[in-house]
Amino acid sequence: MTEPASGYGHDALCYASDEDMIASAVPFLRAALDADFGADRASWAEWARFEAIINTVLARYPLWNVCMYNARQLPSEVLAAAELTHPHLLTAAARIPNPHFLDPALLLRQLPRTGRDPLEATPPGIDRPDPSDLLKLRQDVRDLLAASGHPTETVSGFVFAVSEVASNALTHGPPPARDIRR
Amino acid sequence: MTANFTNRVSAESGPRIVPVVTVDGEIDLATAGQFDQALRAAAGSGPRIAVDLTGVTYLDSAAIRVLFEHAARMQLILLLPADGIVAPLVTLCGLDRVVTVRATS
Repeated sequence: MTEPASGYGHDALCYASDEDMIASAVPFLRAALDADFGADRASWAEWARFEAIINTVLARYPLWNVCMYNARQLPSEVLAAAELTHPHLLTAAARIPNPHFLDPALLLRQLPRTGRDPLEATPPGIDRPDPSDLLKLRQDVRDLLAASGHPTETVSGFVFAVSEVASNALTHGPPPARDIRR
Repeated sequence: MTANFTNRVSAESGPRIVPVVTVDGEIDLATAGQFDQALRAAAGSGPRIAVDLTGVTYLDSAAIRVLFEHAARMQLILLLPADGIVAPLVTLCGLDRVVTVRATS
C-alpha cells in the first residue's frame, strides 16, 4: 500500500523489476498483512518458516510490514510462532522491541521439518534423467494421466507445470535430473 | 509434432498490408528461438505483425516471453480461437493488455 501525500493519489507506476519499483519509484512501502494460516499443524509450521525467512529476504528493502494476528481466534502454535518471528510488537501503548524474537537462521534449524506428502514414498510415475526432449516429456505425462479420470484442465495444468519445471532445470542446470528423495 | 512456422503477407482491413506468421504445434523452450526468428523475419522494419496461433497445441513461458518482447516494440495482433488452450494463458499472464487479440472461431 502506498499513501498519497494528500487527497486522491492516482499514479502510474512503470517498472522493469520489483526491485526498481521498491527502491526508486516509491520511497517507502507500507503493508498490513492478514494471513490465512491454514487449518493444520503442517501449514502453521510452514507459515512460521515463511515469517522467519522474510526477515532476512526483505531486510534490504525500505518496507514496513505489519502482520495481524488475532489472539482470540488463532491457535496457540501460530501465536507462539508470531512471537518468535517478529522483531517488534505493536501494543496499545507503543511499538516495542520483541524480547522473544529469535534469529531466523536459528529458528529455521529448530522448527520441525514439514511433513512429506505420502506420494513421495512411492516410485515415480516417470523417471527421466535427461528431460531435454520436452515434447516427449509432456506426451509421457499426458499418457500417464490419461486414465486417471482427472478433468482435462487439471491434466493440462499439470503438464504445463512439469514442462515449466523441466525447462527451468534445463535452463539453469545440466542433466542428469536425479531423484533426491531420501 | 514440433512447431512449424509459416510466414506470409495478407491484406487486412483495406489497403493495410500486415505480415502474418502462422504457427502450428507446440512452442516451448526448444522452439521459442525459432518462433522469435520467425517473428523478426516477418516484421522486418514494419510497425505491426499478426501471429496466427490457431494451430498451436501448447505454449510455454518461453513463448509468452517472446510475444511480450515483440509487443514492446511493435503492434502485435494475435489470432486465436476463443475456446482454445492459448486464450486463457494470454489472459492469465496479461499479454492481452499489450497485444490485440482477435478470435478466429
